[in-house]
Amino acid sequence: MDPAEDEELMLASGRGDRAAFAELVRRHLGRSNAIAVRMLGSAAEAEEVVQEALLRVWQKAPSWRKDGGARVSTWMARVIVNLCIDRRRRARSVPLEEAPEMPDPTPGADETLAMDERRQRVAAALAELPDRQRAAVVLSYYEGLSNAEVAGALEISVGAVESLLVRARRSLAGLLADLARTEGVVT
Amino acid sequence: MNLKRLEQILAAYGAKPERWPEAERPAALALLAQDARAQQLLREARPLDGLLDSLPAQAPHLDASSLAARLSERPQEPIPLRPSVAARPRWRIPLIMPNLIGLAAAAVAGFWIGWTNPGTDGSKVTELVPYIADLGDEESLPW
Repeated sequence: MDPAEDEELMLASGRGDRAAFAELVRRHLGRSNAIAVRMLGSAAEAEEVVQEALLRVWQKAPSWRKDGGARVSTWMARVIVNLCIDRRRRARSVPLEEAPEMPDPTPGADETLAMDERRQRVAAALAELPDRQRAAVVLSYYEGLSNAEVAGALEISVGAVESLLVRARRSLAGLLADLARTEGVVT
Repeated sequence: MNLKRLEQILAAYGAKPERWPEAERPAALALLAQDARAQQLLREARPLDGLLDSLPAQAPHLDASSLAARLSERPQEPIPLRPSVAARPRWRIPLIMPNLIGLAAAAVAGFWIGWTNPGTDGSKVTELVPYIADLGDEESLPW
């Protein structure tokens, strides 16, 4: 996604251009949804958050300034993450035994039970992380944002991003140690 | 790049080089190419990556076009005018300006007084300050 094109679409949306907003939604819906699903562990909740975030984009677009600092994508990631964190804080908390819903992306595929269990364990381990650590993993590892973008989305220093990631992966390694040992997962 | 830094990179970003900080990637790969201990660290980081990668990316069920159409029926928020900005005059006097304005006003007043003054010939001066005329040949004033 070209940040300059995002800027133009955002500015046009701010002038009430519904076609520009539709293009902005088309470009960012997938990533926004992916962030929300991994943050919340629930596809249904993620959809609600994504709709709320995109509504904010539309409503706030008139105030968007081209030289305001953040990229559109970074700002949207920040809105999504903050909405997810707010939602999780309101609905504390999901026990590890109740694995979050992570639907199979390929319905009908002959996924083994072991594979499903492994996915649920990973999703549950992610859900166990503190909010900012989980957000750092989602944005950096899964969405491939640079450290500067993650820092912008989480409103922390660039240096703090790596520290969050180290702590998150250390926790995940501990939570999933038995799985890694017994299944010997190797990429 | 040294082993300690490579270990930190692996601990933060995992085993796949494309996820490492771009600026450090070439040096990290160079170290891996020649150092057995570095290769061991990489192998140890891979299992967690494998587990994390097993979590699928999920396509949204929402349709972008209909969602955008529905959301953009809602009214947009007007551009907020911050009170301090709204109340602020369009032009502002920098802090140094009041002093300069005072100085200029004093200069204009002085010029005006001088211009409209009846004159500075000796007789008028003596009318204004009589005792100066009485000084005669004294070299200096009494103060």
